[in-house]
Amino acid sequence: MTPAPDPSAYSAKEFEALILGQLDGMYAVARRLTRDATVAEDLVHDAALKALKARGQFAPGTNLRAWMLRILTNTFINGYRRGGLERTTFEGAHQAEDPVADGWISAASMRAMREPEEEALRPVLRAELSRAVEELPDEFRVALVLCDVEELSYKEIAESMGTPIGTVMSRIHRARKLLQERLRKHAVAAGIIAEETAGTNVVPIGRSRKEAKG
Amino acid sequence: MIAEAATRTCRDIERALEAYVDGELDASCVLAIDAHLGSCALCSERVAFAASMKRSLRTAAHAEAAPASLRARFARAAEELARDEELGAKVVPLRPPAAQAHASSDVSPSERGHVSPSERRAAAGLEPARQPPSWRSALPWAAAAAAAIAIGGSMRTLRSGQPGAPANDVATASFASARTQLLEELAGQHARPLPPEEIDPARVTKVFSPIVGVPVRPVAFANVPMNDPWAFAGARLMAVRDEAAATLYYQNHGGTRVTVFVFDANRIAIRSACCLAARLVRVGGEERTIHVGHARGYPLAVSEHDGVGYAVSGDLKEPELVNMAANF
Ligand SMILES: [Zn+2]
Repeated sequence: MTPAPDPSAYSAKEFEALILGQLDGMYAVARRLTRDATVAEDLVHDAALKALKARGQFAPGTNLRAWMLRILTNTFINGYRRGGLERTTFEGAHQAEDPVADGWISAASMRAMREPEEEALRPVLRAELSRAVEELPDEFRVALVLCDVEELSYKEIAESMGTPIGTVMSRIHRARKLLQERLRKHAVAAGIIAEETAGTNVVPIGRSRKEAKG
Repeated sequence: MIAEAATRTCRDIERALEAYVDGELDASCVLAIDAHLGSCALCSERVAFAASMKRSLRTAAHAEAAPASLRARFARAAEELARDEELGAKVVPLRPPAAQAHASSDVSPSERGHVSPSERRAAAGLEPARQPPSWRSALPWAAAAAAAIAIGGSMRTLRSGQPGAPANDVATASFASARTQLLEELAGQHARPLPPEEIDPARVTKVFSPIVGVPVRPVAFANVPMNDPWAFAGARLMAVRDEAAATLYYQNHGGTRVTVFVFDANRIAIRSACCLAARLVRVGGEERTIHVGHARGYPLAVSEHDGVGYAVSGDLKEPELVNMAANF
């Protein structure tokens, strides 16, 4: 005998409790979307309050986390995006061609960059990863963070960002390519791996076979 | 050659590997990828590396919990909101207790917290079968309804949008179309008026002013034919954003309706919130700017006087409403 969905089904108090349960996850995302802890707090607060006020539009039984993240994403996109200058950190990130065609990583290097027995990068690379994520262009970062930090599906991310799924997938792909290249460079600088040249042991990733042979 | 064919496969499945790590592949694709991974060290390492990146990012992000200051701040804001809603629902009866006693217990929209469109139509006497077409001729009913429909109930209904709206409209509703939404709400209140909470024009100022925050007075109409004046047909509160506006209903003998919204112009910035066009109107020797917009097929005219905002919508043409607003 569950009552039919009703716009006033949740009191402010009841819904507040639900939101509080999502606050850590929202903060985790906000922290990756914004560069500054204070700004992340503002963003989460704004989004949480919006969610509370709009609770009548939440359909009970549907995914609250995805709904809240949608509000968070929109709040971020509409009010917290950084200025245009900072978005050029990754040169050529918006070009149609793969911007990191030259950075390829061999299987051996990839193995050296992660922990042997764990599903994790080497600690020195984890810090670099966080920095690199901060510097991704907004569109790439939002898609990647929703995918990796909160593990939303491509479809949910597409709904959050108001873009087609194909766009989401290509943004996530590009974001990872950019991050991979940053990690590779950092690993070389840290002496974890050696600078490799195309064709040493395996076929390079992200490079055409013709180039690889030549 | 065999090696080259194998690497071509590896290149072809690069995107699929990513979807594999993200758990986006269906079962048959997963099996196909698993089969390849079983015999390809390179792709296995790619998957392991991609998974490590994904996991590291997630772990780092979740290392910090939401700070206590954020929790406290949100709890405070939520408490404020809950108190406002509770105040609206319980403490502000617009009718004196005597009138509430007349309210029959089966009038329950406020208990359910929202009024369905059909209830609204029925309550407003707009069902074809219902007789009294005017609130003025339906005083007992109006008194009962006024007591029964608490402000909080209607505020909640209006604030949370359409009951049937799909959840994923939230984002768009709250952000992208915030501008037109305000006009929509006002025009919607004219199109499907909720029953009045006060039907005595003499009491309007006393009852509504403290809640709205500016003097709410029944408006005067200019250039009205003597034989067909605009008659006051009741008033009620309406939530606009998080602020209260007074809604004044007027009607003439011909059944033409006009709805006037009175609000604190400093708190509800309709003119800047909506994309309105400006019209210059000469009143007396003075030029006044009236802003106009349209929603749901109704024109809306907005004017402002000493911090008091007026918006008028009605079954009239835009110039008539502009002229009306210019004379408030
Ligand atoms: Zn392979």
